Amino acid sequence: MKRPVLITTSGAHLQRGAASLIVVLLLFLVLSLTAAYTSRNLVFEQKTSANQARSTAAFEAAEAGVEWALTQLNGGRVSDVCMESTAVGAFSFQERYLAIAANANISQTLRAPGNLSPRVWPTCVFNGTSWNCACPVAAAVDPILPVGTGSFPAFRVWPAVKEPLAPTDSPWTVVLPPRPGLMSLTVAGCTRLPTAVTETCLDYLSRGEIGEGLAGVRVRLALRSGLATPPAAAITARINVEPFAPPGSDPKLYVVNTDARSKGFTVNTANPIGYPLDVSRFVAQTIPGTPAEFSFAPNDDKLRKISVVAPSGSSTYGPELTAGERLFVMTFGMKRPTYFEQPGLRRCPPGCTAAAINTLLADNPNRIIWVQGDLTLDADIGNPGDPSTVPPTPPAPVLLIVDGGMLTMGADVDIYGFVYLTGGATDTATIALPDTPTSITGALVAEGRLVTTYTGVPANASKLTVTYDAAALDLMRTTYGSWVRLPGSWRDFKDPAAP
Amino acid sequence: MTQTLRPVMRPVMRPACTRGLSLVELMVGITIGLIVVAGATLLAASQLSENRRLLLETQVQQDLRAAADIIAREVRRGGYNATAHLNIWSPDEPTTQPSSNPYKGLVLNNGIEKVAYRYERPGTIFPYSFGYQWSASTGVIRQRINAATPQDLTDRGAVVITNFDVQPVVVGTQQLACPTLCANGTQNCWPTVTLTDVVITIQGHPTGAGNQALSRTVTSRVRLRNDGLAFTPQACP
Repeated sequence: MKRPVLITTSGAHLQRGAASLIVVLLLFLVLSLTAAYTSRNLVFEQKTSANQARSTAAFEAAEAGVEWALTQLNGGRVSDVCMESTAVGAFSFQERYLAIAANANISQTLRAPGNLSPRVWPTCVFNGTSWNCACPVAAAVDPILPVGTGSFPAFRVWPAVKEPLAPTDSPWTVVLPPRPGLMSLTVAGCTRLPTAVTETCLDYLSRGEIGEGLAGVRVRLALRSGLATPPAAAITARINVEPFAPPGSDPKLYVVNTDARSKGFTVNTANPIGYPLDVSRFVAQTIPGTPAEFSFAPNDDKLRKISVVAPSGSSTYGPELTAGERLFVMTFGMKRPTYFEQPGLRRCPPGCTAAAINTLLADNPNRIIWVQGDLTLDADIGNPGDPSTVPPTPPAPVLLIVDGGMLTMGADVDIYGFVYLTGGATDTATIALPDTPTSITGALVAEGRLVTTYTGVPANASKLTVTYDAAALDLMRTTYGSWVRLPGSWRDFKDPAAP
Repeated sequence: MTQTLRPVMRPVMRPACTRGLSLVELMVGITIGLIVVAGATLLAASQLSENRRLLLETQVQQDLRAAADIIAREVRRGGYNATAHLNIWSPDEPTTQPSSNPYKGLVLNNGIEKVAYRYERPGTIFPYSFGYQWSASTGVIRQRINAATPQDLTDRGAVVITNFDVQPVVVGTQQLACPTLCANGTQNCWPTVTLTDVVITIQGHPTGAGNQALSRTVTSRVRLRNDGLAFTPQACP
């Protein structure tokens, strides 16, 4: 009898509070449904905001890539990690990736045959505080992968290539820009650096990996030439050229222009009233078969026209240009302050020496050198190159602006390049010559008057030879200067048909 | 034997026929249950209404943000020209005058549209143009693509746009230099380059009565990439 009782009572115990149990269970169900519903919204919110953040990060990385590439292009020599370098054999970014033909057509440098890896292009990844970059030349190199947690966006830069078409197109396809001096820059941005070869987030081909933000920006860049309009004569002076020649002494200024394309002009001046050109103070050599006196172009109409300036106070934007500044604009295509502040210009502060200029030129190939104040040279500047060495030394002329009144040439100094003398406040540029022969190979321009003088006793050997070098001037016109964006060429959508 | 077996079989065969709850037990149980349910319902209701409010807020934020982003992204492209190289002088063709960018020119508040702009897109014909319009009566931002009828950018059923404004901020203007003076002897006809930012402001609240309090404003500032170079009307005299 004991067992049935036991079972009966235990059954009653089991069912006590069943209603509460059911109610509580129902309640839990409702609560969990509410919680799930809320968190569903939360998850959706998070997805949306994560997408937004990724897309913004990728876009900003691509935009940073454009700026970075511009800075690099306007910079000097860099190492394989894209940092400033003065090491032997280091190339500038421009030298690494761009080949500029004699007709100024810009294309990519030739790579190792068959090397189709996109990873041969410069790539950078953000490491939390700065960018780790790689500037490979021949073989694929990745930047150092950042360690730790966090978001590390990356970008890859494709200079002078056409827009690749997915999926088979090679970014190595040669594409000629629509005009000389122009190139296209494509930048792909991604929320992280792809580490496997199969990941194409930075290849500017198709979409990125799942869960990664991807952005592409394409912009055309132009080399704003540092010497937009090279002069047509060996010596150009807006007012006059007055070589030092006391009565009875030999002429001391030798001018040479045997370039047929420039019509062989040796001296080009405006000669306003009071400043006649005394051709007897020159020794000129021009195109064979042409009498030397025909190589002088005094009373030049163009130079006279630029000496006329706009009426004072007539300008909406800034002050009117002076006559000297107008010659500056005619030669360089830019206002003087703009030119001075351009990214492709290197300044040599007062006290500048030949060694300082040569170092600047060697570390910053294809850049302009601006000397602040007078210049005294005790050694050659500019490198004419040497085709006989192995490998041949390419010519590296100097594009020199001397913003002062005085250029003092040391013994036997030879300048290879273009020299522009502003003449300082007096509008008169003076070249002080030594007792030995000196030379300028390229061209010489003075903003006002150009006079020569002697630091010692003028001997027969003390002569300055200014030779017009069309090849050097062309090289500077097509490869020297600053890289700038072409207005109206920025886009963030694909258009493979556009240049 | 049968009697001793019966209690054993009972729970299996007739589970409902136990001794049962007493009325008091039931009442107490129901009362406690009701109190708990009432409390929980109150909690759940307030949670749900809070959640709804949050959702509305989020939705209006998101809709405004999405609209501002779309407009910013589009306006940023304004002035893009696939043949932009024709707008600059080239030593290759020294006698060819640079042409003015036909896609240039952001138009603000032209009476119908708050902002109108142009840029070149693949597969389109000139003058391909875009615009955004808004009116307080509709409370909707509409996007126009070419000459087609504008389409709603924001959802009237979800958010009412109470204000939409596009304002330019000129960061700076520089005049380029030409070798030649203008015909009147001044420098004023030389081209200029202007750096312009555009500030887009959108204000809105969720659709429905009593939701005006949930009004939110989104502001986006964007630098125009392509719309800087201006000729007057020629490049250089």
